[in-house]
Amino acid sequence: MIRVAAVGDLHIGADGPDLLGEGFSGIEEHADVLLLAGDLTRHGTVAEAERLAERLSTVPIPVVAVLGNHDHHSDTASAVAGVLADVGVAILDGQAAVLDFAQLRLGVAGAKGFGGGFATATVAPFGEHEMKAFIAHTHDEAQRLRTAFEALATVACDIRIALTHYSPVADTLVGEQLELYAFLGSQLLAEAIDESRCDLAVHGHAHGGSECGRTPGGTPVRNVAMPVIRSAYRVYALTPRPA
Amino acid sequence: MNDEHGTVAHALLHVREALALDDRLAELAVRVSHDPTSDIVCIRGTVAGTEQQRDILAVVRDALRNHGVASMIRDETEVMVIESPGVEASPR
Repeated sequence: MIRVAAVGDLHIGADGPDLLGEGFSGIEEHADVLLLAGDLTRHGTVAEAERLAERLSTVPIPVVAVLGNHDHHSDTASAVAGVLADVGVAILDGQAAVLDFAQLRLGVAGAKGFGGGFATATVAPFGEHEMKAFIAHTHDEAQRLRTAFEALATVACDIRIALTHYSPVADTLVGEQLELYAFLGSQLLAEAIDESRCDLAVHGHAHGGSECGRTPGGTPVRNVAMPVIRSAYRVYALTPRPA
Repeated sequence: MNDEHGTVAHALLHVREALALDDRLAELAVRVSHDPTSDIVCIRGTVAGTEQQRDILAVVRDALRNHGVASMIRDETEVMVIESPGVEASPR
């Protein structure tokens, strides 16, 4: 069994209070690895990333993360990622992380994702350049997730997880305003997840959404946005699927 | 309230922008709505602390005033209480 802690939407500011507080203290007693599902900072500044890095530097278990839309706001996402990488956080943007625990190997495929909508209410690449650019970014992010899973296919992982900021399903958006769904996630991410046969997909971004969902192909999806789980992290105790 | 020009409805758009762009907040998740019967603007959402709650209220008040709206404001935001991390075995 691997105990996976996951949380998103920490929104750490450069100063002042935040939701997390000392929430990662003692995490090693509950989990073997920590996944961060984006929106780690409030404005995506280096100062905010440094404040988070200080706290993560004392977390004694591996930390794997994707960035979110807030982390891109100041156009310094690379620097934010660099600050976090300097304290050992594996930042995934179309890559995979492989972690070995006792007798089990965990693979995490990560990408930020993007909006675009679900099922009958999706954005199409039609019309103005701006609309085409919007959905082109979604396709690009879904392809990044695929690429990450392709990397995992070359190593034998016992458990595989998809880590995104945006949601791959509408299930976990229930509670949000319907008008926002197209900006909260995309089914193109779920398609990439279902092609990969992974064990769990975790995401953040939808503060007003629901915790539990499932892709059309049956992969369990969990929205770990902090305002949804109302704790510093949720722990998923994962065992390999029966052969 | 007689709002035949949609002044309040249009002002709410700018309130949401102000919440997103305020340096202290970058707040995208707080909901702002208006009840025309009582002429009350209501703000709802989960926030990190009382300081953020005060900042949100101030931004909403300023943005409404800047757009000529004098409606009362009802603050229904809640400060999130962090609970112990839960464990889910083998999500399926």
